[in-house]
Amino acid sequence: MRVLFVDDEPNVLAGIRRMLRPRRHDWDMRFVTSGPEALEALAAEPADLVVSDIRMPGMSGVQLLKEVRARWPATLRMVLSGESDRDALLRSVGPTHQYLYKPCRPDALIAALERMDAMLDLLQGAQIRAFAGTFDSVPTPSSAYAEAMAVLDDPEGTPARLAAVIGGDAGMSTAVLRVANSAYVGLSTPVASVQRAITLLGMDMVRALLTVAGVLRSGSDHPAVGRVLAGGRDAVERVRPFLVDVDPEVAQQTELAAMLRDVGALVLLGEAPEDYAPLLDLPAEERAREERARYGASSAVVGGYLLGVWGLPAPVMVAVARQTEPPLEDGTPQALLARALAPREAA
Amino acid sequence: MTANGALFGRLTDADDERVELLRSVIDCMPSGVVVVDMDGDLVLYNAAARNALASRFVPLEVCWPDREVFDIEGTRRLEPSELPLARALQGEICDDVELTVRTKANKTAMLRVNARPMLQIARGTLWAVAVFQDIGEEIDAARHQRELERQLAQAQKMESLGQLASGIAHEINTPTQYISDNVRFLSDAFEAMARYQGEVAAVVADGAVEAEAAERLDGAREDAELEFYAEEVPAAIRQSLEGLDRVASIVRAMKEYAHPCDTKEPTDLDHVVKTTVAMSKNEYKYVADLELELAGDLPKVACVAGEISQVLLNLVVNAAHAIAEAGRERGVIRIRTSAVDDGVQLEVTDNGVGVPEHLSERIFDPFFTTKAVGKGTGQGLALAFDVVVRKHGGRLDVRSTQGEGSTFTVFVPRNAREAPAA
Repeated sequence: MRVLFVDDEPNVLAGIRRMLRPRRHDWDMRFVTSGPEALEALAAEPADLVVSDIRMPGMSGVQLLKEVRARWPATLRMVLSGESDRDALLRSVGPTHQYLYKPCRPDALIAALERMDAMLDLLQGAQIRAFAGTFDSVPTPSSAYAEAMAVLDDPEGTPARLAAVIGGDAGMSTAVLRVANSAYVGLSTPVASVQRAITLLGMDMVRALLTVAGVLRSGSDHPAVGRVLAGGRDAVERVRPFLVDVDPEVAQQTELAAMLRDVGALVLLGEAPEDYAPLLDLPAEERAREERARYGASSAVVGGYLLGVWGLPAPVMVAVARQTEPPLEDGTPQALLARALAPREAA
Repeated sequence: MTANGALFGRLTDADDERVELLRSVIDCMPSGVVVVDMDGDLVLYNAAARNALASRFVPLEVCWPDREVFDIEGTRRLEPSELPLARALQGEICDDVELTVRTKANKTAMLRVNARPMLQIARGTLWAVAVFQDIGEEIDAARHQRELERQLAQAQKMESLGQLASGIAHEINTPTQYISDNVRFLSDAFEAMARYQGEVAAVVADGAVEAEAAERLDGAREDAELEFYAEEVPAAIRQSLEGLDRVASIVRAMKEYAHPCDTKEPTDLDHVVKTTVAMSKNEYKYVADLELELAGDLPKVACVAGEISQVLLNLVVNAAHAIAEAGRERGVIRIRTSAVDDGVQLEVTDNGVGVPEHLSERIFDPFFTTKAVGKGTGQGLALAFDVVVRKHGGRLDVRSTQGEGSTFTVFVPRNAREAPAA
């Protein structure tokens, strides 16, 4: 993986360079101290991942990452910022895959880099990787969005009621879970529950987030989006009987994976509704074959890739990416979901 | 009527109408009017004076001699010679004297009084007249205004403190980042060097090196005090990392102090106590034992669990410091929870040094600390106070005996909001 670190404080770069020296054979790392320098370096040789500070003189990190998204759509974008307030977060929501905050423990930074590396491998060689970096949000139907806003406007609205609405929609669920799992919240355990995410962020933050998350977008109100989402809710119902004696955390992750199983399809629908919608009428295997032919990867893998680069819990990412493959390890969300989905789709 | 009779005695019919007219006029006046004779006894008063000072059951004549007069703050009783009417009887003109009157009719009135001497030529004596307005509402409004201004000033202070805090947080977070990366690097580097040195020692021990060279290596090793470094460097690195964690948590707390934005959830405070205690073991285990007296069946209270946990943590840390400072043997920190009328109470008791009485007012001020430099930030109790009182509408009190210990009591109100279904 080729990584470019951008920070106006040379000492930060030197610290990271020394700290990551043991990984120098795995990662090709470059270090620059400004946005313009970063663009120059990328023009000379692209990177797979850019890790940038936000507050820099001249070009800000947000401007830089927007520029990177436009010019190198295959490049993943991560923030490592000293500003950890909500306004700074909201400004960078658009162009950023993952947010880390200073001071970030060396282990946490290494784990985040490894995760990005693994995601790049997931789409290795696929045509779609060339522009997968521009998939920033999952389309949400405007009716679901309006329903969420109505709960937020209601003085009696509770996180539980809001979670009932957001939890049934993949776009808004991923939007709140991305931030709840970022260093902005600063938890060490991953969050797979939408209600917990809402409680952690606070209702005001959720409102602000939904307005900048770009979930209302092209494709939002395409009829196929509603159908795919109904399929997700149906998958949740189908997986529930398998979760009776399962550890609550695993159960939560499995239900989330079921709801988000078609995130990849939703994003592809959002990008090109008329091209992609007909594939949804194909039987599962045929659809996956056609997706692989067109994009180099199935929509399940694209979905897993997105959940991975957005920092959602790793077991959820694996379960979505491998939902139609044989169960890997018993008792994991991947195995549970694959079992729940298998019989009927085969029938 | 008696009073009027005294004034208007021996009247002719022709005077009757004029008296009636005058009485109507003074009764219609919105200001109170009181006239006293040379002995200070009541001669005449109007309706407004009666309303302000007397009651339906106690006429003004009856309660008048028993009046108690204080300054406007209601704190100092005025001497008889200071009263406006008394001064007027001495020939003085008293303008706009503000005072508080408590009468036997169980009334407290705040008045602004103007009093004049009134020469009674026919009688050859000096009387006095006082005209007064009830200024209770005016005073209340002024006090309310002052309170609003104080709150506004406080809010502005918090606002600027908030901006300052985010600026400082950014400035501190950046160096903290590279210090922690560098410490990690030094740790890796030291381990690599220690491995190399171990390898050299093993080669020497195997006798693979000539005697003279082995001796030189041993000597060099002793000169360099390698054993000492092998022990102390990892400790220095571990402690540096602990220090960095503390810096990070203070910066985070400072930021949260300035930018509160969290949702209150129905919470079992017993649960909060248990998790906090588990997290904070390091803070007290060297100086004190911890005793829990949990109610076990507390009603849920609407609160931000993380914030209440932070408050509790601060109180436990303070208790541990107070015990350490007392310098006796191991102390005891007791945490007790109980359901009270309309909420839940949480007490943290220690047998440490206690809070001197003259400081108990100030301990909740930001940056106020009695701890040695480097020991406390002066933020803990101010944060606790802010969280409990401002954000949760609760109370935070301290009871303390110097030299014996303190009890901090946190009260969190229940707040009638329904618990959302899980």
